[in-house]
Amino acid sequence: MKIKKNSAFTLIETMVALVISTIAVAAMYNAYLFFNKSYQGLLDKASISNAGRTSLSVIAKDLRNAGYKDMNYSRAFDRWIEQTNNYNSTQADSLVIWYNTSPTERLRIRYYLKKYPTGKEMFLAREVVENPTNSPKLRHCQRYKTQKNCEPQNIVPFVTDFQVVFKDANGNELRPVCADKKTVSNAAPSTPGCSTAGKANQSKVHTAEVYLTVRSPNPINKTQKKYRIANADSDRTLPPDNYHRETFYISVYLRNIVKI
Amino acid sequence: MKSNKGLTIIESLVCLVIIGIGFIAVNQLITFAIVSMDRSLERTKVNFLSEMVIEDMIGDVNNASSYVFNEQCSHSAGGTSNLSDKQKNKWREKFQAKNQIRVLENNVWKEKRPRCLPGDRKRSYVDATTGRFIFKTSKGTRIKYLGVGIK
Repeated sequence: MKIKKNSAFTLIETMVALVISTIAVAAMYNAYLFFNKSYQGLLDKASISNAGRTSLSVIAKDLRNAGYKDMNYSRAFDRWIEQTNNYNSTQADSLVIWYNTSPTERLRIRYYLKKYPTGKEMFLAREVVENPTNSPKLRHCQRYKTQKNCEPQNIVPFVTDFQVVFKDANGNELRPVCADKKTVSNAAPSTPGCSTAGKANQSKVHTAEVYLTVRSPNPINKTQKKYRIANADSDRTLPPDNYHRETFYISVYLRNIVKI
Repeated sequence: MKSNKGLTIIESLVCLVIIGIGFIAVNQLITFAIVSMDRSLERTKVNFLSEMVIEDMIGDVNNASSYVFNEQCSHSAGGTSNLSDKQKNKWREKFQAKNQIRVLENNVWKEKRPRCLPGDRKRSYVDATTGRFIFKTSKGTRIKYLGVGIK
């Protein structure tokens, strides 16, 4: 029987194999980098979309309830909706909504931008206080009974801007819409005082418009971009960066306030 | 006895071509996923804009018949004498995402306007008992319907 010679690779064969495998590995590495970056961008865009959808749905639900008074609620009911410009020097607004959830319980819900403990980034906070004028109790605490370590809910991470505009029944902007500072329980030090007109404007509110600008959690743009946020009355230019930003908008008819 | 030969260069190249085709397929998949995600964002905004139209109709229910609207991609402001005209002007602005977010491109601030293609349309119908709104995007192939009883 004839046995074939088991000769080794020649130098040329080895070199060709080396070149081909180098090209293949480089292609695979680049493809991995590309797919990984694309996937991260995809996740970030999904996060923005999800944040906008869920948060504005929650805000819209609260706005539709704003001013609702249970017919058996016996205490004073003179505050329904408020808005503050440049709340806590964030250049964003705060929105406060009051309504009954039962004959004995009334909620005060405040939306505002809050800075993360580390860094300059902000999130949209939703702070819920039960019976704010009579034995107030914050929700979302580690120990609800003793009211320890209470923190507002982070309903949208990485928010750039939050603006609220109220309009009357003729479609004209209403400003200011707020209560007297003295009557605000747990008022932040920066809460401005408010005129009698501001308090009276509460009952003239017909429609609320909310603008929310959300930033991607990670930098996903290949090149740095400069954004100008011009939601409602705000107009500010941000320093250039690689983040992606989207603005969401809702307009809600305040059916419970209009019927008061 | 079978020879102990390795792969020939032709076999290796064929293998590489097959792997390359696989990469192209995955690339197409990623591209499709990115486009889908952009569409999802667009749909979220379309849902909120449709809700805005319906909310405005509910808010002026005695005058709902004035909220008939039928426009495609170009919007020009109408009158401002009454609430329905003001609301419709507001819709026009929001459909184009006017005065919201701008990006600096070639030293010019450009608004991030939503795509509007031939066949896209925003149309509201109002009859004696109902108000309806239809928002067509992607050349009229994706349709968002929203309706409400108004009487």
